[in-house]
Amino acid sequence: MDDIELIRDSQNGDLDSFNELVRRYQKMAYNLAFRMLGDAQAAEDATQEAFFSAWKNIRRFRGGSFKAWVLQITANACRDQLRRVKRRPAIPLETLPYDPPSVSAESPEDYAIRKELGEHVQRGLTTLSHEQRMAVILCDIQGLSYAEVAEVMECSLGTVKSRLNRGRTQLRDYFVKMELISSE
Amino acid sequence: MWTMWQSFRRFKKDECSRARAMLSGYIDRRLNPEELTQVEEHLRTCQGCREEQESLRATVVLLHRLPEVTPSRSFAVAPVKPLPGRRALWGLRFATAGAAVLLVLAFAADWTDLFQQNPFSNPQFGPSTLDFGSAKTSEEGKSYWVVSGVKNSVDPQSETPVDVDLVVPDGSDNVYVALRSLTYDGVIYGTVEAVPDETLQLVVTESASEADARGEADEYTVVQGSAVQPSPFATNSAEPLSDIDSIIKGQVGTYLNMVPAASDNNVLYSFYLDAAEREFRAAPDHDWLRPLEYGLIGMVVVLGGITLALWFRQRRRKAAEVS
Repeated sequence: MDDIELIRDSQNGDLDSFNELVRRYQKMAYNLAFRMLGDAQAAEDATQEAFFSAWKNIRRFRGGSFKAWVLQITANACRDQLRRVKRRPAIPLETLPYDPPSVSAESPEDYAIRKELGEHVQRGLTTLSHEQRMAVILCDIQGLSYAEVAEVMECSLGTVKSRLNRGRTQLRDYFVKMELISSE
Repeated sequence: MWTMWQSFRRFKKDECSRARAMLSGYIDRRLNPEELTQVEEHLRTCQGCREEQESLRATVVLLHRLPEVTPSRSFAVAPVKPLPGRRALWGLRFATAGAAVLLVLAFAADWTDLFQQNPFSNPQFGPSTLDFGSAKTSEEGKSYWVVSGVKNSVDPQSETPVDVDLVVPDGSDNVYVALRSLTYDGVIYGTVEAVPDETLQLVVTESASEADARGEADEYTVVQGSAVQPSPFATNSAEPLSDIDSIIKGQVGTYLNMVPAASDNNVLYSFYLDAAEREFRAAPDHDWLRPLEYGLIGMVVVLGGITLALWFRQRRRKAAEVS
């Protein structure tokens, strides 16, 4: 069954079809939330909230990219979480409890290096503003096109380019400072 | 020469800014051919921007190397089950609303004296009480009651007071009228008239107000409960009667001992009771209404409290489900 059929059935109230869509897109949504929030629990909360909201509003989906629609809802759930954290900072964004799954044929040293790199990059992301972070995550980590990023972030292409440029430059400065890349 | 150098530097700086703004697009291959040519030409001549481009590219590569994270659980949406107690909550809501409506009705009935009984038609004081029976209406439209059960006859020629023993035989031959049976809202205005007949009758005529009662008699006295005072009922005689016990308290009702001033066949007796007597005589005619009101208030408070508590619990549970 393709997405279009599943969406149509979901709009007719078929929860199983919707949950099939959840299964297909949950990893992508969770990755956006995890990279935005830097905390596994907060990311799970935001993702669940996003899919619950998507189920409630599935009838409002009027075609186009379902992936962009889901990411848009996830992005909004992340913004809500960040506002909550700002108001009541119970979740320290610096904590990184996530352990990446180890790849077979990977030595423990390689795994440790990969984990450390992941933590550094995540810390670097938290130095960006929310909107710059989201543009960088969507484009450079999730591989969305500029047009898709613009749709998810509900802004113009020019704004996407500008946020991406500033975000990458700032991140580059952080990576240079942490000696993850050379300045030349 | 210096000015030319300054201009060249400014031009170069502007060119660098323009190129750097396009570097992200250049790295992502999102530039149109014209922009691409501009950036490539600039990078060939500008070492600083080349380094900038390389470091940005390294940053993007590093970001691409970031591993994808896998959620530890599924985010499938569970079917929303009807919350337990929902039906009970609706039942409670209806019960609370019903009790509230009944309470309002009870208050309205109490306020308007809907269930107030006519004390004349329903005496409550047992065997020692006058049974006035049904009211009759005079030609003037006034209600009156003919009191039966009079034993003594009236001697028109006699100078002695007429002794009429009506209802409350207390060992004397005096007339006792159970005033409590005559009261509306604690005050009664009325006229008592002795009518000579084969058997003596005492006609009690209800007056609408104190003024009406006074108007029926040439003289009147407010009965206040003193032991002996001039007759409030003397009309045709200038001489007041002294042998009158105004009000006897401490029994079931309040009684007026009425002795007519003269042995006239048509003596008018007029009386009314003042406020001081009201409390003593106040008898709720709808005893069941007040307890009903209190019961309904209790029901509304208890049911409303339970309903609110259940409602808050359901809201919390709903919020927990959403989150």
